[in-house]
Amino acid sequence: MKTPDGKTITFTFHSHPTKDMKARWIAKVTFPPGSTADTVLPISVTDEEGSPIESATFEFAGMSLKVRDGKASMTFGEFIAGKHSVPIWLHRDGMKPVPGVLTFA
Amino acid sequence: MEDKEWYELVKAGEDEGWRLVWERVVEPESKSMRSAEMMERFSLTAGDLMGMLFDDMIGKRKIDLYRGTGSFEGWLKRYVRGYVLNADPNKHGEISIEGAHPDAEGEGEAMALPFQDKETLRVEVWRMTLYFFRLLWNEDPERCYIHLLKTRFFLSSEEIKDFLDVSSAANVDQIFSRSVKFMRESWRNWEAGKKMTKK
Repeated sequence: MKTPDGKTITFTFHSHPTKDMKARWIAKVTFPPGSTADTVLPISVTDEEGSPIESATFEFAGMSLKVRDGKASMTFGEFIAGKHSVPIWLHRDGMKPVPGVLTFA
Repeated sequence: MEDKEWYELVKAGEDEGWRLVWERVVEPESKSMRSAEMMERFSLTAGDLMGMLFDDMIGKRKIDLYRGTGSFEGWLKRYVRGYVLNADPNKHGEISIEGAHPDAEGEGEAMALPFQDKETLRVEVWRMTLYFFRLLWNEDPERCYIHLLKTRFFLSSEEIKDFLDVSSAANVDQIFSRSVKFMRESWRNWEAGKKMTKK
């Protein structure tokens, strides 16, 4: 597994539409150029206005990732191991978990 | 490459054909005087145009409307210009003749009155595309990753094979082809459902 040299790829995930705008979220998973199995992928998790989400758990690619100050991470190998995993959720204390999906953004 | 060969490659969703679409149509149009300023104003990127063109041509089979007369490049550019013009929020619901028709180019064609609210239609198309993409995700997220890596990031099948650890480039093409078919069928089903509702 290897990402192309000289190209940074970012996948953007959006929460499903919710009535409560505060519950919406955006997560961006970035693959640096030439990433291999051990490369750490930075993940940013923000609200709809782009403010970092202070504390949460991001359920993605079959893993539960801790989010602190809008940041989380996983290795490229972990991403590939969970590439068929459907559930994506953001769990925040005191709020209902909100699902999301990959978008064209 | 001749138009006929190019057309066939684009129709088949081949990388080579779509790379030429990017190089000859989308990128030059996005940098043209007439479109660049509007695109910046309406927060539209060349990638957005490419995505919309791909969804129309492959997802909604508008590629079948090309009759082989006139330049294929010019025909594609008219769609791309239409996307830029229709991104103008001030055109929402406009009954003026100029530019409201997505195919409008020459003065004669500009006389066609719009029979639908193009902005509403565009938003609906976009929303439904995202919805079908979500359905595709539920089938298998890998299909969505491949779809995006091909149409948004323009990676070759070989690059995607390495990226997603797929067994072969041919397998990437097969998965991509299935995902396009899925999106196309979702459109057909939705259109059929709409017609049933109207009746």
